[in-house]
Amino acid sequence: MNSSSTEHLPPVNVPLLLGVLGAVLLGEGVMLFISSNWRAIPMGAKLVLIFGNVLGSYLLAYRMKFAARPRSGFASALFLKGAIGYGAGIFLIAQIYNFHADWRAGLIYWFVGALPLAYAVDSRPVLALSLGTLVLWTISKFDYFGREVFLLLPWLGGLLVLAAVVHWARLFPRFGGTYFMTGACLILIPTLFLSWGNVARGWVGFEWSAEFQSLAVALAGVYVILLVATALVLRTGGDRALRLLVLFLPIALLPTIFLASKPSREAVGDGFLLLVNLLLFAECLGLIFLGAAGRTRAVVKLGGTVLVLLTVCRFFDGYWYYLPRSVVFLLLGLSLMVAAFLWERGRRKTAEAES
Amino acid sequence: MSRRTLVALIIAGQLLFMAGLIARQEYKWRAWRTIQLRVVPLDPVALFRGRYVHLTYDFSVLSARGEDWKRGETVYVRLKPQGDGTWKAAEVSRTLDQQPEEVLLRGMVVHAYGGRVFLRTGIESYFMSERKAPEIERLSPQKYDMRVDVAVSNDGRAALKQLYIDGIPAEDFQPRPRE
Repeated sequence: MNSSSTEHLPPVNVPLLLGVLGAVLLGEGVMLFISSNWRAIPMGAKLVLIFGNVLGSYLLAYRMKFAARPRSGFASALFLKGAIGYGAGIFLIAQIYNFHADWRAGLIYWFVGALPLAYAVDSRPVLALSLGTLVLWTISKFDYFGREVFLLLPWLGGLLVLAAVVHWARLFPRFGGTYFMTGACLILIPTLFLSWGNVARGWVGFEWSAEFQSLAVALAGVYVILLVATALVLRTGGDRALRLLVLFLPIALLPTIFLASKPSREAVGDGFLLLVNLLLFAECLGLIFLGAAGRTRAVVKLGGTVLVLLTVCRFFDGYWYYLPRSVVFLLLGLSLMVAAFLWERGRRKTAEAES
Repeated sequence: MSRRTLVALIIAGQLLFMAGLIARQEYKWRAWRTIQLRVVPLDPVALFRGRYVHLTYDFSVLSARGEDWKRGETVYVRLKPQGDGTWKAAEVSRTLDQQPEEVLLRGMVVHAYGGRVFLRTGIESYFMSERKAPEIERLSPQKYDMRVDVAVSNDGRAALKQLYIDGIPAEDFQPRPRE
């Protein structure tokens, strides 16, 4: 992870946290208020309210951000409120004018509008909002039978992880964490879903829609471009952990690439499921090591949480017999205990040598 | 370009985009030809936008007539005028070849199975207040005359204008007491 990370975690910025939570609540409140479609408000007043909410938030945020004595935390919260208001405005105009045709396009407009703002005002909450709208668009657009979306999400996650590496190594190091956490969740959660026997078998032989195929090709193209950019960036900067992350990332996407190629039902047998489970196990361990190397507690927690979820899922998964499950659990548990012992011993030796 | 200018430009871009959405729909309502269609309402809820009445038309589900319709395919519904001032679906085709005395409505195949084609034309949602929408949904199409004004362009694109119940705008309509 970023080599400039510090040993001690920075203190939590409580005013910023409260401001962001307040902005989210206010944004949601305005959205709910206009969604109620209260008849006492004429159409013109609704439009004034929508535009006033966005413009008012931005003007206030702008003044605070660029004042002689800037109040960055509060400005960031207000920019977030403005960005929420912008997205809400798109949907509320659609409500007032009865748009229906592909309402999901509103989420893409939201993403496209909020993303440049995040960079211009250097705001992680606005970045998280824009990435959230992109994920929501992918889910809502490809939710047919739950198949396509679970293949597209990990691929989108892969792109975001690559984007995180570029940000950490060169562009905006502050934004790397947001990209990485979103991307990692998009890879891990669908893979956890696929690790269930009956779920993975339900994927085979499915006829993919033309939209899915187009987006899959587009994502592959963006992946190649980002990979080249990442390679260029890592040639001059970035640490070994980032290089390993880029190297192992395609392996995390292999199960979904395999399923998208329409294998036979027999191909998605016990061997495939065992590999998916072991792969997810390895990904979680990789996250824990990566987080520990960069002293990023959130990454360690994500790896640990998914690892616990995976073991709980397999503990109650009736697809496998008890005996093979017990053997795998015993072997993996023993391996982790040995690894923990060796790591601790190595750390003690290093500490003794230093003292 | 300074950061201040960049932020101001992005904010202006967002506001202009929102204004553009309004201008585009206003243009459709004013410039396109307006026709009336009969509807049957349902009452779902939309993410971010509140309650709406989902409108079903006589062309929402059509017979496949032995043809192979693909999901996502663009189709044109051929509408013919009726004696009561409304327009009714006559057939569905893949080509935009409009005949005199006809209106074509562009749609997309959502599903095609069991010898039926399920279409979406983009005029299925009419947003209403959270109190009024369920009231409208409960009205029986056999008892009430339910119609919508729809603006249609020459190439079949449509924009929903107004829902009427017995000739009264749906927002102002009061259901009759039960007989």
